[in-house]
Amino acid sequence: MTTFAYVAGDFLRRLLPVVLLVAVWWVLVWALDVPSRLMPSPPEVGQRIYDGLIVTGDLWPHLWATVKATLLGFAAGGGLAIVVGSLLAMSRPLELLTYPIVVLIQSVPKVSVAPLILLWAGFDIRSTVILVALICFFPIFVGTFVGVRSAPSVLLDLFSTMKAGRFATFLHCNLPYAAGSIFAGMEVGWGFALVGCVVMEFVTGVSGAGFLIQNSANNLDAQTAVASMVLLGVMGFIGGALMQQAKRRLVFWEGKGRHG
Amino acid sequence: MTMMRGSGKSTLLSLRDVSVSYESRRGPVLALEHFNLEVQPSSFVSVLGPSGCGKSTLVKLVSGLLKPTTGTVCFDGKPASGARDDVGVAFQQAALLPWKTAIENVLLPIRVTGQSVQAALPRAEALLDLVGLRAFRDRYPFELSGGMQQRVAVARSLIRDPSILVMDEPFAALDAMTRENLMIELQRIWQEMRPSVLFITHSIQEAVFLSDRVIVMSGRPGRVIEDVVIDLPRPRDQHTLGSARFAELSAQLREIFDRTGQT
Amino acid sequence: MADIYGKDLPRWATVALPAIGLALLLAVWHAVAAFVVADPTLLPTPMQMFLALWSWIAGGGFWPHMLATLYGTLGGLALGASLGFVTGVLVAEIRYLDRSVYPMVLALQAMPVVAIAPLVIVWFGIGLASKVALVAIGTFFVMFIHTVAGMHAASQELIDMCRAFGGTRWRIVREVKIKHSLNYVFSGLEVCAALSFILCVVAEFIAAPFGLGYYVKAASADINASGMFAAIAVLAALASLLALIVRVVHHRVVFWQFRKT
Repeated sequence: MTTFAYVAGDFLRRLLPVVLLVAVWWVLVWALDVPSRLMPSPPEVGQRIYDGLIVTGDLWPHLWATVKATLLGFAAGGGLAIVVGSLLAMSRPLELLTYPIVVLIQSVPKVSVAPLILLWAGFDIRSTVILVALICFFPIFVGTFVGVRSAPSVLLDLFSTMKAGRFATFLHCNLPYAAGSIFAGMEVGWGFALVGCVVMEFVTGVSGAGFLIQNSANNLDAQTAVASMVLLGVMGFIGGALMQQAKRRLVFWEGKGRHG
Repeated sequence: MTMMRGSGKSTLLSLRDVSVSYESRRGPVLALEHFNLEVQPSSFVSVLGPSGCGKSTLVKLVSGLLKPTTGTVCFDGKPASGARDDVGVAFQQAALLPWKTAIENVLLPIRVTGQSVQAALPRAEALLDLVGLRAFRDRYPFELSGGMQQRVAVARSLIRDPSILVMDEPFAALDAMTRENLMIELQRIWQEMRPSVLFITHSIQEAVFLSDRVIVMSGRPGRVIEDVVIDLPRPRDQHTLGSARFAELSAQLREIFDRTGQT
Repeated sequence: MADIYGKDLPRWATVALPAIGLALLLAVWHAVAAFVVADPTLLPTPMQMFLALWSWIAGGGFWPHMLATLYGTLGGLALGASLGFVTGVLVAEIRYLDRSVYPMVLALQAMPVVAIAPLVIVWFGIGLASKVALVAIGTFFVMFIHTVAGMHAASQELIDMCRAFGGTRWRIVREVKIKHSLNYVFSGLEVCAALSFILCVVAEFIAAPFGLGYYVKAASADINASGMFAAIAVLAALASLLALIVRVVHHRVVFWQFRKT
């Protein structure tokens, strides 16, 4: 089989469940005679997406608002998580000292803090970015911490015999070993980030995919609501796929076998 | 590239009345007791002993990862204080960085101590050539077999031109054929560079083939039982393996083991 | 061994350091709240938060909200998780469904389930029903996926078991299969425990007359940070308690996974 046939076949195979899903959806809506305002049919949603993206383009500003806020928050939260995770992993005393704070952050359901952030930061994109950063911090932090500590002890011994300092060992040994785990944390974190963004948009009600869904649902415009949900799903998928690709490129040595 | 180090007679490494004990759940454990050892420059010394006799502790002592509880570890007559630039180490696992190529791995000790990688590059290439991996210079560890990885590790341990090389059962994780090949290779490499070598092993064959002296250790707590001189002529090769004297010395060592009730 | 992380600490340090950390946290919090912000409606001190919580409970206004959230969360969790588990077992057992339904559900995962919240409220109206529905839907999918994955993982060993038992004792085989998948199932339950609170709070944000989430949002409009902190603290406590219970049960039921050999 040629490479092209293989890739095309793989793509179609992945597409099949989605096609099936749409088919089942269509049949259910038709068979149970569900009114459009409660749950639109696939063609109606498709039409709305087409209108919203290509004809009037009224969905774009909101999609863009969501992407922007999510990316900014993800970068901020993820960056902070990697730094903090590295620091705590490299120093057990520091880890023990900050343990209560970590437990506290973990136990609070981050979405419940959304109105508090609003109170402090106001009704604009700043609040959304803060909540996203907060919500995706933890999985990336855990991924970093576990990853940094996963460097094999024989390598740490080796670095020690080479008289490498702690920072040099971190840079050349711990950090690259953590890469796979960090990416795994980021994949989870991306999903969380979208959740945080959507929730804040529900609450602030200004712009974004969350606002679209909320607003159109209130106006019994289920078509727009479901259309936005689908587009949100696409955003989630694209982000996850991009991150997987990035991981495969950067952490190229993982999962490769040896011969001989 | 044959060279002798030091004045030839003075002791390079000496352990005097060294004891190492550490805390475990069941109380203090004595790994080494009243351990005495002297290694001359350019001499190949094997340490042979049963499992758990404290061989790894010995490696850690000499490579600077551990301090003795009592006694002294001296290099060139001066007490050691931690890791040293003139000690090279090779462990049982090759421990290469998976994201670096073979040559980059050989240069690792240079890179992490902030020295000039450019300046050391020719030396690294020469070492890779010496261990027979010139063609694999730009390959990653996952593209190399276990034996090849271990050869890169050996090259890495030599990059700073150490006066003593500590090797902790470096071939133990490899299959028998590769072990034998690498054993012969190591002899050849050593002839070229002549550092002192402290070679920890389970295998009587390796000990006899490679060394000038074989130190036989007891079980825990580790002590020196015998110090056997290996008078086989150098350079040694496959023919040496089949010689009568080789068989004699191997039998002698085996007898020491049986006598003291070790495996 | 090279002690690069500084793990060689005296025994007392492993208790003392976290305690010091906690004390520092409270001290800094108090200092910032009392001296920098100096406004309990914007940032209460730890003491003010506890007092707000105390008077809230004592005043009686606490319970309607607490119970609303509790019913929504636990009710939805019970409903969704049990349905998800049963459906998962069925789908995994029937190969035709396994090939078709499971991939479809996996494809749905890309969309965050919170996004359906406004629509669910349109369907079920304002109140407890929509909360339970949203939590149920979310936990259903998580449990379903974890259950099927667990059944898949068990399959490998099962084929051998089948042969050993001559393939006739399907009851034993099925019990072993479910037993093997329990680790996955309980991991899924741990995720569901956290998810259920998230979904319930979100539903309360959007449209609910009662609930801790509703209270937080309302207190925000009233600029009452002390009240918000109190409600958030209760939410944190409840979520932690549920997570702890699930984890303890997990370790009890699937005890063999965590035994040190």
